[in-house]
Amino acid sequence: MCLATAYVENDGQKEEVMQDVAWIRPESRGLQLTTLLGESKLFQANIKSIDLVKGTIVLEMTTDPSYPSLPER
Amino acid sequence: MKIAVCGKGGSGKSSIVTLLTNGLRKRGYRVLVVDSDESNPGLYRLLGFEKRPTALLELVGGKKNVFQAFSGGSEFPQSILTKDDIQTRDLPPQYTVEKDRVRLVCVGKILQSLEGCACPMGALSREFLKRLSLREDEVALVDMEAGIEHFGRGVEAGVDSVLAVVEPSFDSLELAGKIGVLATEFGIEGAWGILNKVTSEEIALRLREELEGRGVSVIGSIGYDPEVFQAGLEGRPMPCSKAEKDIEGILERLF
Repeated sequence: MCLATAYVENDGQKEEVMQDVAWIRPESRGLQLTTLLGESKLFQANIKSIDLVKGTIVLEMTTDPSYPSLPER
Repeated sequence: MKIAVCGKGGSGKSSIVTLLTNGLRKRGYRVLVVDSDESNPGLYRLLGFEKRPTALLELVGGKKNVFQAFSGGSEFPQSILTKDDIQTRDLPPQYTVEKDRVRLVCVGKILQSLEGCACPMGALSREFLKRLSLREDEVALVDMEAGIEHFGRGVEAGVDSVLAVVEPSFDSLELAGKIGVLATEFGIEGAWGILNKVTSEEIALRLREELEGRGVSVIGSIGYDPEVFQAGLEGRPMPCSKAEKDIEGILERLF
């Protein structure tokens, strides 16, 4: 399917974090993922891989100091 | 109860949805018909409405507008579709047409060449049906796109029952068998075949045996009805016909 499922990979384990991702936008503080229904999340992460056939995005969280810390929720 | 009506192209899904709708309405139910077929344009006519409602896809800005909003950095429109629990009364009036306790909503239609695939419609159908909360006197009937791609998109995650419409053809039987398997994989216990356009008892018996051999139980049979055929040819509402009597037996078993 064209809409993707996003995972965060950590120590070789993939955890599903979002379904129906329609858009990915690089922001100064990370990657903003937005679903078809308009729900957004910001991930302090890099893209590890995108599989356009399976519809999967794998993110790896980063501690890159060039990413400012995210505000506390 | 949310019921998905599936089957091969041309098997009569929209006609069966209309017959079920009319039968349920007469039994006192409120019926929400969900047009989840992104291609065929005419379900609203069969149901006797004068126009199709604005597509639910427009609630998220429509394909074109959402892409523009994204590239321009503007806010995404929030809508009832982000609610976890959608009641039929929450649907904004412009997104439904309503008459005699029957409401029609349309997920979205392919309008232009090269506009992209129908995946957003599939995802929207799935999320809408998952979040749709019905009262006891309400039933949702989903007119699916032809074939089985909707299973791949997970639309059936939001329904309780699946009806596979089968016309007298080998491909239709094969597809219904596949639908039965896919519905089972989804954990849907209520999956049945409906025989349609049946011209004789012999044909009905043959189809029933063939389907049961493919693991699909038959819930009822609709005879070939020239009046239904003629209405379909002319784009008229479903007429009162003997097919209405045939659908009664199916409703008896479903409700």
